[in-house]
Amino acid sequence: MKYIIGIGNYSMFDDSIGIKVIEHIEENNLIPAGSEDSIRAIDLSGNLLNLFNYLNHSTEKIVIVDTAKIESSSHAASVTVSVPGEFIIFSPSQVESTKNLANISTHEGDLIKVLALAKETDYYIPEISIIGIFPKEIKNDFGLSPELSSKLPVYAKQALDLI
Amino acid sequence: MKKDININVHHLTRVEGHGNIVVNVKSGKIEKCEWQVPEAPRFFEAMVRGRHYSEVARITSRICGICSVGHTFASVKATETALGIEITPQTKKLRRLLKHAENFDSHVLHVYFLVAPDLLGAPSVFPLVPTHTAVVKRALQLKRIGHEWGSLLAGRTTHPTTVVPGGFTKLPTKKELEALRKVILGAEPDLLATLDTVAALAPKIPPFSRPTEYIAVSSDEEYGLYDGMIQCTMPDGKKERIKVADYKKVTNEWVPPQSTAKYCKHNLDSYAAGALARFNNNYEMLHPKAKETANRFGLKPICTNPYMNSVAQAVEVVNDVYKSVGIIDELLSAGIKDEELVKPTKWSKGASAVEVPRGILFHEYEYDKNGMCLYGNCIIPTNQNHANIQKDFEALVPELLSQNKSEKEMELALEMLVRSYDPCISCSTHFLNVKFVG
Repeated sequence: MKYIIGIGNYSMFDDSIGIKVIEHIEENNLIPAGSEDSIRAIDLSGNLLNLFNYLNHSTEKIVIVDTAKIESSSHAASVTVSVPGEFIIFSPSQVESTKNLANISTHEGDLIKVLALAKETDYYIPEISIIGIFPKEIKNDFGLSPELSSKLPVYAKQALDLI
Repeated sequence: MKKDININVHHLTRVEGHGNIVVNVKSGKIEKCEWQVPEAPRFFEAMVRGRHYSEVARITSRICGICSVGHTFASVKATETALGIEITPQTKKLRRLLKHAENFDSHVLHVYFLVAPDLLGAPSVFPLVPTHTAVVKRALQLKRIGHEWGSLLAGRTTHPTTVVPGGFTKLPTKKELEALRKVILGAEPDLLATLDTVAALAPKIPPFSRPTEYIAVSSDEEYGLYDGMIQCTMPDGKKERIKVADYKKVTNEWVPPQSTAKYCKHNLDSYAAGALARFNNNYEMLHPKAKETANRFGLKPICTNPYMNSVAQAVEVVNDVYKSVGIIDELLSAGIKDEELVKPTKWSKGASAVEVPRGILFHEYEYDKNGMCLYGNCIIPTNQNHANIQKDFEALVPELLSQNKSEKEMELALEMLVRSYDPCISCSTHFLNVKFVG
């Protein structure tokens, strides 16, 4: 089984982009015909610990779509994602979290730390790719910035191409 | 010696959202002692206005990622009351089963990931992985069971897709319910080990007591999670039941100077909601195995130690498991029947009360003749607990001073107190914040 998983908070504007990509895939029936039983689009919202449910040997691949802020580093790709709506594709092993959380919970999550916990507790980690989309604005509101909403088809296609 | 204490905890960790602890003591005199909640309102009530009744629960379920089942239930129940919809007994049983799943899932997370680190002297769950590997693995396994349990009934665990006004859009099959029964009972060994862990940690729970009013959903049919009236239990054991439609007479919202969040009060200056409030109100309705568990932990109604909320959560986890097995047996015995969604019979105003893991939750809506929402109101349990946390602070700080606790010890005691309420101040953001390595 392969999974495209959207992460974020629906009511925090651009932080919802991962969920909106999943909605876009579902509403437009973008899973290729014949693959409905082998590819699933999952809205995980902020329940990052539920990712553990997909970390097993029956999972072939996971593509995660999430909002991402990339701190400056020597990696050339970081320059690309300074523009709202642009995105970068990476694997969990390529990055380290700079999020300042003392813990993980279902509300305030840190995907990288959840995956680190999975590794430390001997969970099987299938191939994972992350599409990190640079937000324009994260605030208490529904919706998306035009820079992100106009690119929903692009993000969805990218996720499907990767899977 | 009269000492100075300055505690300024900004953005307390291991609670959901933004809360501050500020305590200033000068020469032994308390000058400031505040639980501050400087969060912006989220305006969900405004967002539902003008929406069709079929859309409202989809929006309000997004208030919370962890209590989304409870918010969905509160929403559809209020809508059903407003629209004169009487759901079937089968729908009610399935909703109760799903409510137990949410409670189980949330409590496992809180007890293991947010409270246990305090009692084990760790800043988070991560340092516990090498030292308490089996405990962390067990927590993840139980969390996984909660996920499977909720997903089967809700379509997905977070933000349910199957729960709508009038019933369910998709029903579990007999085979799926039989499988779920096995999964839930399969959790028994981990559950028993969890109780051993809680029993081992319980002596580290601070011995603090402050009698207050306890408010929860209460019913003669169930342990007051999904449905019932509002019940208030006073410290002397006196109980009063109030109609859900009169919920505003209970909540009496107000905004204190140190907070942007609303506070609540009823018979006293504050009241408590949550697992301990449910336990104090509804002890008699617990499953016998949950009562045995409470007895093992020395937890009896009326317990006035707010730190014991986490122990009450462990008792509820046992209750969730065995009550759910009973509900599944009833459903299997009656047979799952396909049912049409029950249609509206009127267009008016209606309120609901549901217990979410953190306490009693109220929703209320009014609809026009086209089924469009004219008014919405949601009062979440964490807001109902803010005033009680403040009053606990005012009682606890003098006690800690009299015990000559250090500033660090006082800070930890206050942090643990807030965390024991399992507050969910707002749903925060979940974006990645990373830098490339190598």
